Parts: sequence; structure tokens; C-alpha cells
Amino acid sequence: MTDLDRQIEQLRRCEYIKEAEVKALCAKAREILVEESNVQRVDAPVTICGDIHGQFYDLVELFKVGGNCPDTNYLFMGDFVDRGFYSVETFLLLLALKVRYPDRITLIRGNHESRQITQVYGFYDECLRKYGSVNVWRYCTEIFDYLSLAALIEDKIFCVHGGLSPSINTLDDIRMLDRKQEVPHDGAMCDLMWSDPEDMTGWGLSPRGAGYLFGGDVVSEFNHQNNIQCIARAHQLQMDGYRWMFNKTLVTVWSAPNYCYRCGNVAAILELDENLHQNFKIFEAAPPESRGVPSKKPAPDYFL
Amino acid sequence: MSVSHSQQFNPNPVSILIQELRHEDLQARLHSVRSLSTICVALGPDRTRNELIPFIQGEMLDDDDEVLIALSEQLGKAIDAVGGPEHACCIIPIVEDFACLEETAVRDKAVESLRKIIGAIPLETQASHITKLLDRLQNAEWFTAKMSACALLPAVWQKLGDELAMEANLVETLETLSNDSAPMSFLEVLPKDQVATQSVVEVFRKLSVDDHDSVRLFVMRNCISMTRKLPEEFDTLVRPVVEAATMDKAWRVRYMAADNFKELADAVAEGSADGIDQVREFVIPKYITLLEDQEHEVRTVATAKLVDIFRRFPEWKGWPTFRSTIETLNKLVTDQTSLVRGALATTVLELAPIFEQDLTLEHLMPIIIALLRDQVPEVRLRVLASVDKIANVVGVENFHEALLPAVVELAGDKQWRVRQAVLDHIPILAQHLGVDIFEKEMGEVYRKALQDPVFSIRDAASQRLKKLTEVLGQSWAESHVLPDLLKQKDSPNYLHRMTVLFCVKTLCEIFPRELIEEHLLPLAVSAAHDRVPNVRYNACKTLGKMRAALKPEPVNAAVQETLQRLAEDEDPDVRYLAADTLKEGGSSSSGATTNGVGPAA
Ligand SMILES: [Mn+2]
Repeated sequence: MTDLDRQIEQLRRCEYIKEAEVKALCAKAREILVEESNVQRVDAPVTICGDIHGQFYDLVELFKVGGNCPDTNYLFMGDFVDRGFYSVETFLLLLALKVRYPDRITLIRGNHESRQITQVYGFYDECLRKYGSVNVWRYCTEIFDYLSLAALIEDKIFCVHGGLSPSINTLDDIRMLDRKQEVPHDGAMCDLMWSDPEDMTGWGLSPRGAGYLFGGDVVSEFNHQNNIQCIARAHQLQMDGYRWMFNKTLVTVWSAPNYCYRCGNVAAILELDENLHQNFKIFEAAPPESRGVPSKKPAPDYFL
Repeated sequence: MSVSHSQQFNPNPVSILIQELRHEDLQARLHSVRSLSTICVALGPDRTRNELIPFIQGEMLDDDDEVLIALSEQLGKAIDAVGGPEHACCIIPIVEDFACLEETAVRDKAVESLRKIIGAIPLETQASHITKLLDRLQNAEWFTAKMSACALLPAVWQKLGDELAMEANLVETLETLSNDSAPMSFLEVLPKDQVATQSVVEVFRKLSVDDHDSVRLFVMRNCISMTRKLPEEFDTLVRPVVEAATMDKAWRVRYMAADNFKELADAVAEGSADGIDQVREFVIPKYITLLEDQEHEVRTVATAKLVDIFRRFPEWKGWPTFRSTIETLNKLVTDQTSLVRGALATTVLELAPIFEQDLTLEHLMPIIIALLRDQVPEVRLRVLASVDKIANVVGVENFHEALLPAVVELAGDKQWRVRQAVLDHIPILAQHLGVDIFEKEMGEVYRKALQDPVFSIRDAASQRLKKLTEVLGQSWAESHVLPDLLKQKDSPNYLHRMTVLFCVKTLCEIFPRELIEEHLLPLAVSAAHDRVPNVRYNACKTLGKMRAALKPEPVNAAVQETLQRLAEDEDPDVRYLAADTLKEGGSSSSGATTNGVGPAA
């Protein structure tokens, strides 16, 4: 058994690996990711997943429903970290799988794969708490800069974390971007990770303060122009796990059940078989007995 | 390792420990607290007493609860480290500080450690350390200290023995604490001295009607100890208190009553010749009222504890209250709270062996069937968890007729964990039912699981195939599973095609060579031509396993050829695995295994 296989085993048990191992893992990951395109080509069959947000035990649940990597092919559409209790284990497991089985799993970047956002929403603090220094956070955020911005499945399904951008008309526009940088505050790269679809015509201002709102006509124009069937994206909580919009030309997939451990939503993954037949799998949060108890205090005294 | 050597090696571990204990990271502090015993060994008892203990005292009081709990625990184990029992008293002050803190969990741990220290202190020379500790806690300003005094009192009393306890005025301590409404249970405290006994009885009476719920929580514990000590006074002294506790206005008091009822019943039964009559006429009827308590927490615990009481008093089955007990259980089936129904599920399954066949069939079966159809999956899962044991109680015939349909129904449950629970029972059910009934009732259920949309179910189904084939026979697998696998190998979904390979791998473990070559090999070879690399990858794994299963006979040519083909696959993972598998099993003839841990060279 190689070191990497051992680390994967360890991470699957939600035990984080040593700082030096993280450093080496990130170095290997960079070699692989730097070769990937801004719009990474992916073959069917593949299972598409949305936001995970550090909910490690729910990721384990996802694999229980969808199958293990490398038996099942996966495409994760970003937002691996922040908000949940186990961003470190979640991201490192996915990254280790990427290094071990580069052709079986694809990771693209979400708006939370950013230095700025992770300092506010938990990943930074978690690294500091678990490792006693911010080195691991630094290694991971460096890797974020190498993640692809989008993926294209069999030339037919365009996958991106957030959505479209008024500065982008063709996939080649995306391919031209220099992605190896922190997520900018505006512009094409920012929009891909921040925008949301909306029942409207044309473009609108996003209440998020970054990215845009885009309507069905924008999607239809983009899909036509680039000869694609539909857009798969994540980024927005869906109570039923997924949601079609615009006459099934865009779908949102959400893979964090009971988001933030309190939203009460179910999660979904989208299985595409080799003929691109779609099959949504719905799942719920991992039952309490299968997850480690995150609270640091012992069980409160029942009576006093 | 010699102590002096480590001292030379590390001249001042105390200052290092001090630094570590002041570290800003919680985990680092916790780590150093947990390594305290190692440091003590390095320091030796003298320096531990004179340098380390004084340092820690007062220093850590503001630290995180988690650190304080760990430290309290460590200190309780430090008796040898400070030089043995004669020196144990030097740890008291620092643990005592923790026993006065606000946080209950810290205090509990500190009291636990103080009990250990008190237990160790030599009575002949140092009894005063113990009594002074109790005095300080009892007279402290903080109520929390008084609570710790209460918690320590029985241990102190026991340590001192009646005579010294009287000398130390512990009866007075008991009275004072009870006047302060400090919650306590004085389980082991009751002196032989008549006057003192009277005082303790007074305290018992007073605590039973204390205004504070937190004090009355211990009423039931105290009733048990009173019953044990003064069984002849049960009717006059204890019985009214028990009665009041089961109707207390605070549900937590009733909860504690329910939780302790079995022990009370024990004490009553053993207390006197007619104790069992008291149990039948008084204790059990009171208990039944708790099963119907208005607070669901109370109903839950009463339901859960029912088995213990039945196990202790199986004669309950013949008592007049039995019928009303069953009626109550039937009401609980439709309880508003699923927690209660969950407790009921576990309880009825455990009651079955006590009830035995006839009573189970008559009274428990309807409840079990209803709970199998409960709207909440957790309840259904609870029943499923041990439903197969019912077959041992009622016999296969009855089980098949009464319960099996409800179990089969759950194989189609929309919660996948429920479906998995059914699957978990399939081998044992197969054993009970035999091949004909199993195939008739559950064959389809099993084969459907092989195509379940959830991976874990397909995986579990393929793994159960081994046990199932062992139980039902190879011919069952040949005639009732292989045809389905042949169909499933052409599924349009690669995940389902892979399930076929998982089954083939399992069957390799039990099929003889002819069957492997006739039925399984073609499935693996065809998968090696699949257009999805993941399937070819698993075909490769399967062929490796198959080759190991066919050993020590000559390597099957088709297996070898296919692996060689895969070693030139366009997919790098497949290529690599195939080459590895060929290397592993090719030259060596002895016991190659499947996971790459075979002979290395
Ligand atoms: Mn997002």
C-alpha cells in the first residue's frame, strides 16, 4: 500500500493527515491540475455533485449512495470548504482522490475556494485549530488557484459553480482566461463562480454583490452558441436537492444535506450514464450514529 | 529508564510543562495535561509534590472546561506520582478548587478524583485531612462546593466507618446540608447508632418534600437505600415517598423515579418475607402509571426499563396487572412521540423471550407488526434490528405467517437504510425459512436489491450472496441468481454492470472450479471488453480474484489472455492494475491474494 493509499484510507475515516503530507499532496496535485484546461473535458459516464461545504460525513453518505471513487466517476462543482466542521478532511480527501485517480474525478473551483472567503467562513480557522498554524491553509489556497473554472461533459453539458458572465460568449472566452490567481472581485472569472440564474430576461444585478443574475434567454443563447444541451451548476441551496430551470436547459445540483446542519434540505447528485441519460439520486444527512460528535463539551448534564 | 537520566537529559521539565500549559492552542494544552503522568515520572515524587503541584494550583482555574476535566482526571491518578498514599493529601487542595467550579462536568470529574484520593489516604494518621476537606466544602460560600460536599459525603462516611463518622459529626453535616437544600443521595449512609439513625431518617423525610426539584431528583435513590437499610419500615416510611415521587409535579423527578424503579422493586422484594406481595400490589401498579405519564421523556424511560423488571419478576405474567400492562403497551404503539415508540420497539423484542411463544403470539406480535409499519424510519429500523430473533421464540411457521409479510414490505421502503436493514437479515432469514419458502417470499426482494439505485444496497446484496449460497446451495445460485446476472451484464448503466462483477467476485469464493469456469469466467471476460474503463478496471480485479480462486490448478488460459489484453488497455489505471495482477500471480503458485499484498518479488 502506497503512502497515498494510506492517506486516503485515513481521510476516509475523517482523520486529517500531517502537515508535511499535505504539502507533498498539494505539490503532486499541482502537477496534475496545471495540465487541466480552464474548461476541463470530461467523459460520460459521470456523476455530478454540487456544494459540499465541509460536511464530511454527508460526503461519505454521498459516496454510499453514488458509489466509491474510482468505481464511480465524479465531477464536483466546487465549494468543498467552509461552513461545515470538516473542511480540511473534505477537501484533502477529494484532492487525494484526484491525485490517486486523476481520470476518475474532476474538481472545479467554487467561490469559496478563495483566500478571502475562507478567512471569513471557517476554513482558515479550522486549519489553524487543527494544525496550530496556517501553513495548511496556505497550501490549500494555492491549489485552489489551479482548479479548473468549468467542465464540459461529452461536449454537451457545461458545468460551472455559479453561472454565466456578460463578458463571456463562448467557451473559448473561458479558455483564454488566466485562471491561476485569487478569485477576482469582478470580471469573467468572478462571474463564473458567483452568478445565479433568475426567472427574468437578460442580465441583472446580483444581491450577492458579486457576479450577475442571468435569465433564460441568456442561457438559451449561450447553449445555442456553444452547441450544448444544458448547463449544470451548484451554488444555490435547493430544498429538494436539485432544480431544473428554463425548460430543462439549466439545472442546479446541491449536495450538502441539511445544509449548515440546520436547513432541513435533502441533497442530490446527478448520475449521467454513458448515453447521458440523467438520473438524480436524492440523499439525506448522515444519521447521528455515523458521524463524529463535533461538540467539544461532554454531553450536558441532563438535569442540573 | 532511570529518573536521574531523564533529569540530566531535560534539566527543567517543569518550566517546559509550564510553557505548554500556557500554550494558546487548546489542543496543545490538552496534550500536555494528558502527558502529566510521564512528566511526574521524570520529575520523581519529591519534585512533583514540591514544584509541579504548587505550580498547577491556582494557575489553571480559568482554563477551558475540557482542560480542567482532563486535569482533574489526571490528578486523581497521580497518587503514586506524588509518593503514594501518605502523600496523597497534597493533591487535595488543587482538586478541591475544581470541585467548587460552576461547570457540572468539571465538578463531577473532580469529585470522582477526590473519592479516589480519600480512598487512598491512610486513616490511622491522616483522617483529619478527609474531615477537613468535607468541612471546607460544606461551609464554603459557593453552593457548588456544597453540592460537591453532598457527593463526597457517602464516600467519606464509608471510609471513616460509623464510629469515626459519629465522632466527626457527619450526622450534623448531613443535617446542615439538607437544610441548605443541597441535592444528595446518601445511599450508603445509615449508622447503627439509634439516635443517629433517627436523625438520618429525619433528613430523608425532609429531603423528600424539599421545595427544589433538584433535591427531589434523588428521592428515589434515597428510597432504595432506606428500603435496604430499614425494610421493616417500608410501609410507613418509604411507600408514601415513592407514591409522591411518581406523581411529583416536576417531570424530571418522575423520570428519575421510573429510571430507578427496578432497583426499588429489587430492594422491596428482598427486604422482607412478604416483599414480593408489596411488589405485586404496590410497586408494579405504580410503575404502570409512569408508562402512561403525560411527559414523553418519562414514558420513554419507563418503556425502556420495562424489560429489566419483567426479567427480574417473570411472575408478573400471572399477576392481575398483566392485562392492563398489555393494554398500556398497545396504547404506546400510537404514542405521539417517536422516541417512545422507538423504546417500545426495542422493549417488545426483548420481552418476547421472557413471554415465550404463546404470550408473544397473542400480545406482542400485533405490536411488532404495527411498529414495523411505523411512519418514522428509526422506529421501523429498531424493530428490524432484531426481528429475526422472534423466529426463535414463536417458531418458523408462525414467524412466516405473521411477520414475514411486514418484513418483505420494508424491502421496498423509500429509506435506503431500512432496505439495507432488511438485506442484513436475509441470510439469517434464509436459514430459518429454507430454500423453498425463501425463494417464494424473498427471492425477488433479493434480486431487486442487486439493481437498487443506491450503491450501498447493491454492494451489500453482492456481499450477502456468499452466505446465501452457503445456506441455500449452489444450485439455488445457479438457477435463481445467475440468470439475472446474465441480464444485468447488459444494463445501460455501468454502475449496474459493475454489480455483476461484485457478485462474480463473491461467488468465486464458494463455487467449485467447473462452475467458475462455466458461469463466472464468461461474465468477467465480457466485462473486460466493456467500453467504460471503470468496468474494465473491475473486470481486472475480478479476474485476479478468480485466478487466485482457481489455484493451485494450472492458470486458466482465458483468464491469463484477458489480463494480458487489459495490460495494453487504453486507460492507464486499467493497464497498471492488469500488469500488477499479472506480475503478482504469474510466476508464484502459492497463495497469491487479491489486494496486492501477495508475494513481493
Ligand atoms: Mn457557492
